[in-house]
Amino acid sequence: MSRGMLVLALLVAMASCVTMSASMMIGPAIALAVPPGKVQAGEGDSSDAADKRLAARKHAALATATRDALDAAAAAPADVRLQRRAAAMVRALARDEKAREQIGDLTPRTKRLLDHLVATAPCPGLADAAATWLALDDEDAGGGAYVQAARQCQSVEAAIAAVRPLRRVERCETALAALREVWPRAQGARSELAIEVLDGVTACSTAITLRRNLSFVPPDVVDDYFALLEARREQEAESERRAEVARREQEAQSRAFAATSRCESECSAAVSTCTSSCGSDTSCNQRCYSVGHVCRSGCGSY
Amino acid sequence: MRLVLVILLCGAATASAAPEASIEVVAAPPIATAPEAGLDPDVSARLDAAERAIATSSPAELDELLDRVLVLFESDDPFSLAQRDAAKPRTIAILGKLGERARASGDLVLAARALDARWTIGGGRRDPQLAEVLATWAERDAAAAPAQSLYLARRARKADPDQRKARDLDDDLSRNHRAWSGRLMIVAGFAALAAGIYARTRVGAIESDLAMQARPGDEVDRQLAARDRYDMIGTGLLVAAPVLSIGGIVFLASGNPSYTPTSPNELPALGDP
Repeated sequence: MSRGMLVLALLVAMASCVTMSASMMIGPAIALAVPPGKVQAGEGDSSDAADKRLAARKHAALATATRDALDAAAAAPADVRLQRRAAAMVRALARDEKAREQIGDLTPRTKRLLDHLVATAPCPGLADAAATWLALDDEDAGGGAYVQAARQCQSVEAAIAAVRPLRRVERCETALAALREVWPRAQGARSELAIEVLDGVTACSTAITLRRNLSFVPPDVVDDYFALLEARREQEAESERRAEVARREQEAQSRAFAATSRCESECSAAVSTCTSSCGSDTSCNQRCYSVGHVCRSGCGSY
Repeated sequence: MRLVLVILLCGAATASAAPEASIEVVAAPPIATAPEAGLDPDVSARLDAAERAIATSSPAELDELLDRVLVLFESDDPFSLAQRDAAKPRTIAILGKLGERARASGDLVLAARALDARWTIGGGRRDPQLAEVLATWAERDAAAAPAQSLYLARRARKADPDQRKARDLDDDLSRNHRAWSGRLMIVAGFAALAAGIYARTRVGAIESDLAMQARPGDEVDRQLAARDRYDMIGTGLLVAAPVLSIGGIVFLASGNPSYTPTSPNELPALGDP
């Protein structure tokens, strides 16, 4: 090998070494241009432990507030608002399972409060007591208190409210008696209230006992009410029919969509098989694609 | 149209935020959620008891006291919600005293909780006292819990944007501490590349020179020795260049903070006010 050739070979080797080394510097050059990482602005997140603590504090605070409200009511027995407020607090507590379990003697304390409230101010005490017993899942006491409220406070709403809990504890006769007693007042009030009374009777009756249970209602009102029940039944049937039609349409649409998707995927698979058999034959590939296009356009008809 | 929607949404939000004046009871008149004047006796009693006990309570009792003071702002029953506005000024004053007392007795966390609650109840107005406590806490835990410290520093800055300690800590914990040294390594890599190329050029130049003209034997030996030296240095530098630069990238990337600001267990003292 001549000396010139040797020099040339060395130059080429050097150039390739430099090129290789320089090419490895592209990454570092980009890294220099990119600003270094920084924690994003913003206050940040509260930790899971903090979230749990806040949630637990909510329950504990409700329990403390309720306990204090019960104490305040006991300390001021003549203040009806404080008694009613304590009952309302118990209802709020009853909805919160975790807060409720923090007051061990809740039921006896509530009983003392409600007994005193009913004795001090039966109206509205009985309605408050009924709502509170229902919140504490005592349907029997709740329904009973509503019946008493209906009688002592002459409240149509209380008689209506008594139906659901008493029906659950199979004391429909008591509810029906209360509804019968308040009927004259309900009839004189707005028609919605009278209808609610009649609905209460219906809820506590079977198809056989309904007419008998409505015996305290004038016949023309009963006829009108039965017409109303029939209209409601028809409306309900119509709503159900519409819902069924909508459901079927939805199902048909889903099926059509699934069929179209399946068809398109089969077309794509066929095109793929076709092109793989063509190799590098351009015209063959084009035929495959056009057949695939025709295939896919046929899928829309599902 | 969009404006109308925004106004409606704002109106709805305001309406839903307002506490109810009374709560409905079936078959009975509604119950007023707040007394005609002042606070309900149990609410007042809680605040009275707390105010009296602050000066004499032990640190453990102060913690319990704080929980009692915050009951009205933590319980979401309609009666507590309705009395918050009326109780706010007194609660803020009590929380301030409680925070001061906790700070004086060295309980930084309890002081931060009390002052943070005061700040939240007060509507997030500027509070240098809270910012100072939070910044001190952040500084204390910066090495052990940087994510938590960053949260504290940023909350301190929110409470008082002029808090210098919190600002410095926020800047320090937010940035990449290896940014400049990493960059320096990358630049050193480039310098090595340039020097390596120069050395390799010198090798070529010496060889060309030797090929072009005849020289005395000792000079040829000297030139060849110089060529070998340049060759060794140049090759070494060309190998070192990417090693240095890539090492710099790795070093730089390893310095990027891998955390986001996260609250300690004790904060925020209150949920959404």
